Amino acid sequence: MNTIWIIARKESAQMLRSQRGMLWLLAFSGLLSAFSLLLVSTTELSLLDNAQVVYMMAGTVLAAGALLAVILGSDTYAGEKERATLVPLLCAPVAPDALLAGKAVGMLAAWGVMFAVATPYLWAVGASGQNLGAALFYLALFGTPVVLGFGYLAMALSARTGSFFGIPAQYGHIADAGRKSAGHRTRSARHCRRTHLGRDQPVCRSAQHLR
Amino acid sequence: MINIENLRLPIEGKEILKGIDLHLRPGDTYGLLGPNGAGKSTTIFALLGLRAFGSGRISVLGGNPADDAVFIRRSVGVMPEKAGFYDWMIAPDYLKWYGGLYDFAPTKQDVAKMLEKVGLGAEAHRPIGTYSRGMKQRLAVARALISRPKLLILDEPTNGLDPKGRREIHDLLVEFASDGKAGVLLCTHLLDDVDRLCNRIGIIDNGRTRLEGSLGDLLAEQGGGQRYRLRLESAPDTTNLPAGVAIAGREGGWWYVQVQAAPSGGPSTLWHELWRRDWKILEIRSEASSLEELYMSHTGQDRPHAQEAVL
Repeated sequence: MNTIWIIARKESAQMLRSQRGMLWLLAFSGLLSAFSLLLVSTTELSLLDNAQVVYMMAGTVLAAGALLAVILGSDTYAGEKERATLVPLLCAPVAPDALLAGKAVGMLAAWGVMFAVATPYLWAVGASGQNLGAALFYLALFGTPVVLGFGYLAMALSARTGSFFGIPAQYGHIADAGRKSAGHRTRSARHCRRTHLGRDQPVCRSAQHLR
Repeated sequence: MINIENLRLPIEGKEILKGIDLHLRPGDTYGLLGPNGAGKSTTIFALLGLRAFGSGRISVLGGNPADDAVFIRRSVGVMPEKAGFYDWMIAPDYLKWYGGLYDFAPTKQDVAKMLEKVGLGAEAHRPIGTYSRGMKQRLAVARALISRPKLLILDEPTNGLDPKGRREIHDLLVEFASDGKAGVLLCTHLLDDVDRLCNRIGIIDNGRTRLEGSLGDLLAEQGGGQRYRLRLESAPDTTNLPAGVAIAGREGGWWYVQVQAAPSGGPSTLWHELWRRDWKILEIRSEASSLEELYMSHTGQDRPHAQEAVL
């Protein structure tokens, strides 16, 4: 659990402190600003009722969240490999599942940041009506699984394509974790397990002596 | 600490490791030598449990990497060949974060001390993205040491470092290995690093261990010492030579001498001694060291089949 938290902390800090994360947030704010301005300044759009305006805005936030999940997810392994930061991470005592979970929690934190950035915009276009609270509630309720789903799918693909192209065959464990997370147990993963268990390797005496 | 017997490892159906043997005991600084694509990095990945191996036996710190990879890695500090960092972080934050992955929370003082040790104390608060390659190498060494490992695995640790930086890294490794309980596996193609640091070596080529043993013993078997080529003003008196020096031959005005063990004051003491014995030396050239000869004689035997392991 501690490892998951440590990885998640880095992932969310990357969103707020790295140049790429800041650029993403800036682009997201720009998109919401433009959309809000359009909603309040265009005569035809200003005739829409409050519920339509608020839910349209919430839909935009959700779409941007899904896009972020895909970007972050695909960067999870392929991007880290490209920047040569994946190997040091894999050399650390981190179980593949913990790495995947940490990345997913980090993605949720990034979604939380986006949600916080979007709230004032939603308030600006919907404060005059009764729909703001419900829109925020539904955005959190449906947005979170959408972000997680898209993110997991992108992560699994990122891990899998990485191993497909043969570059990081040592990341096979991660690819397996990605496949598992996407609900697949592929032939390759089964083969990998057979390779581990079927040969005449010595049985580990105990894990305790290593501590 | 590491026992590898007849390790074979296929990648995508192709056998990359075809018989690796490696034995590292506590207190050893083991130099793993071999040309590019020989299988050094693949061996490291196999012993960290990052590669599933085909057959053979691997035991690292008493555990099997196939079953206990995470527990093994908890006691192993690794410096991979490519030192990747998060460019937006600063070095102290990065080391604290990385130490946390080992369930080891280094204090501010631990981190500051480590950065001082690797010569990055003054640069600690700059983002890592602004570091030069050499500075990143130093930080990678700090990252490998921060968890206070029992076993240190370094892949080309002095690549890209200036002579001063190399010396500092050497000193750090000597200090790490000095307690006699820890082990160091040094993967390199720089024979000078091996000569200075290692007491045991293994030479691998084309996925096979060609030679393994104590460096001193292997060099003694090989003939030992260092060979020099000297140009002299006149023919020397070959009957009156200092101890440990032998004439190895003569060719086109050059005299070849084999120096079994360098004198304590360094080679210059030896030249003074020879000069005193009426050797009018005009020019001195260093020839390949015995380690280099040892390396050359055990590598490149079946190069046409050698291939780069996909890492």
